[in-house]
Amino acid sequence: MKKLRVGRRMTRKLTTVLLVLAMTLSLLSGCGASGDADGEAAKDGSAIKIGILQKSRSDQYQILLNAAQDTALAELKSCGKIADFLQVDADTDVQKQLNQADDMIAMGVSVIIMSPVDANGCAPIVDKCKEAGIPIVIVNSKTSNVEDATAFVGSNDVEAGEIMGNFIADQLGGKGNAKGNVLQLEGDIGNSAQIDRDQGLKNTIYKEEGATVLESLSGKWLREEAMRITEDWLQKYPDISAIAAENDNMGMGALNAVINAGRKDDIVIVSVDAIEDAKLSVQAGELDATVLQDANGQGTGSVDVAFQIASGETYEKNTNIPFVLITKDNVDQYL
Amino acid sequence: MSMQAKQTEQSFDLALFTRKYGILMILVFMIVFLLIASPTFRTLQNTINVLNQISINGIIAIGMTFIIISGGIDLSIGSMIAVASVVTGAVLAANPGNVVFAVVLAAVACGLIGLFNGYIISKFDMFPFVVTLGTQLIFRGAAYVISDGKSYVLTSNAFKEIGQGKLLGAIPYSIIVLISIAFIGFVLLSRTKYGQYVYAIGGNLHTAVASGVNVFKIKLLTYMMMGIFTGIAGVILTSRVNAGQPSIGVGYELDAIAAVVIGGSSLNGGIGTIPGTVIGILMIGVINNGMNLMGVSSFYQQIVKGFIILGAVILDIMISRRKSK
Repeated sequence: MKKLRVGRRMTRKLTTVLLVLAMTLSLLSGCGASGDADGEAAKDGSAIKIGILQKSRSDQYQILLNAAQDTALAELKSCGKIADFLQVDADTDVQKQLNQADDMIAMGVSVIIMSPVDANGCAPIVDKCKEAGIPIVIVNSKTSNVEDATAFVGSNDVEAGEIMGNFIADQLGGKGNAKGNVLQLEGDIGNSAQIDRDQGLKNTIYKEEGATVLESLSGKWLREEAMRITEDWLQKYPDISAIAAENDNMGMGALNAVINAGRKDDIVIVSVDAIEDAKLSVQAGELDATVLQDANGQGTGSVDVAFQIASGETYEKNTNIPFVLITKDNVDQYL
Repeated sequence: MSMQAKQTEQSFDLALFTRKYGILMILVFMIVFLLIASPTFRTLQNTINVLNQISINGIIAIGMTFIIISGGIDLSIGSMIAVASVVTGAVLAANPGNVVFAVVLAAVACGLIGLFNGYIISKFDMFPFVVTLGTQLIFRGAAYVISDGKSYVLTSNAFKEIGQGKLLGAIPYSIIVLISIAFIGFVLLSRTKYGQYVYAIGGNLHTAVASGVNVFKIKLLTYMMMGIFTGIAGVILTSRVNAGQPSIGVGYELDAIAAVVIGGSSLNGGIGTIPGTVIGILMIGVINNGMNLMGVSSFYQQIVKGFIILGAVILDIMISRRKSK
């Protein structure tokens, strides 16, 4: 307890020091290209402290998201628009994120940005922030009570599923005329990305009269698991036209299996995330397409909104960062 | 443990025999059922497919058989695989031509990790369960540190051959590796002094110590061998998925332990055989493949697998009890 109190006092002291430092800096540097960042706004801004609750530092997508936030925050800080920021990693552990949120509320940050570990498990954090009067911006995936949060910046995973479904329909003869047998590799069942991407496929390729979705199994987001399932499917079904994987890791696993079976020419494979080797594979003409969830857009967007909230500017409650279909035609600009 | 030690040599062997046969019968029954129920299962191509899929778990399970017979357990397998994967990935990312070096380095790294496990366990006389529960965190963390959390994209075609290539275009190399390792394991366990010592320290540690067995050395060797086998399995898995990933291999120890236990090894130590484990490995492979071919949904696959494992072991215990009475 004592330690904690000392710790808090220290942070407060530190904050004051940084605050003064930042104020001086903001007076010195003529930073800020935006027109409204002069005079009064800058003075207010220099007291802003942004806290980031990261979901993970090892997940490929979250790494990109964290990096984008970091760049945006560092820029704000160097311009003196914010006093400081801190990032903590929950390592995909709900309990850890709950504790970290408590710590951040106790520290009294101006605004929190959270990439939630779990839709239900992290919902209490939103309530706590509301109680403590600290605005919270949710980024990437939603909590079950996302409407109670101050703002949400993210992409709609249903859209990702629809982009996949439409791409497959186009490849198999065009919307309304698509023909063929489709297989679906699902993520961890119950995960919000899995539910929504599945819904997106249900809205599109499932509705095609001529196309049949033969089976859907969960590859648990894992490459080796998806590869094993696909190998079994390749044995079982002599006629497969397309495979839709709810993430690239599984898409790449399926691709390996299909290439090994010598059936890549007959089977269209599409997946979501646009991770590095998926993009390279698209460039090499193997994977047919990947759907980019814009980590950069989400990361930068979440920091922008958080800053707008903290400095009292107007902000969007819901910011949708659109998904982008990446095929051989446009892959070069994303590599 | 003392009960088993009191048993005579003869009834000990008989129990082992029936244990092995009970499970073999269940495996045969499952295969016959699938042969009838699934047209795909009958094909030669699917047989090769199943053998290919079990090779990674199989290689690990062979090492795990030694560990379990010696009275131990190793929960750090999944993390070791991750280390092997990122070590291979890091070497190949720096220079795609260094295939041999990458493979050897991965096996050596995992061998050293196994040695570390064995050292802690035998030096401080700690429960292997607790030690490897701790070290699996260390190794997984190390894998993340080495790779900085990222996944290595592998482009070397020569490396791809290891896990995806086929001898004469028909037999996957991974199957050949599994058969070789199973054979080496069989010889080591049943035809050498080292093998006898492994049974001895698992069967009755005090007797083994009293009769002059160097327990420290045997345990060290056993955990190191586990590490090397896991390293090889990790390399094959990395090549199979064509990526060096720090998050790979989670839970792989459990399938290996399941195969060993289904194969008639006792978690109390002192009992078990390589042929038994091979049957266990085949059984898990056939369950996984069979359910996919039968179109069992993801929800039910785990439930079915759990019940089959439980059922197999219960039936096996019932058979061996009745026969040894």
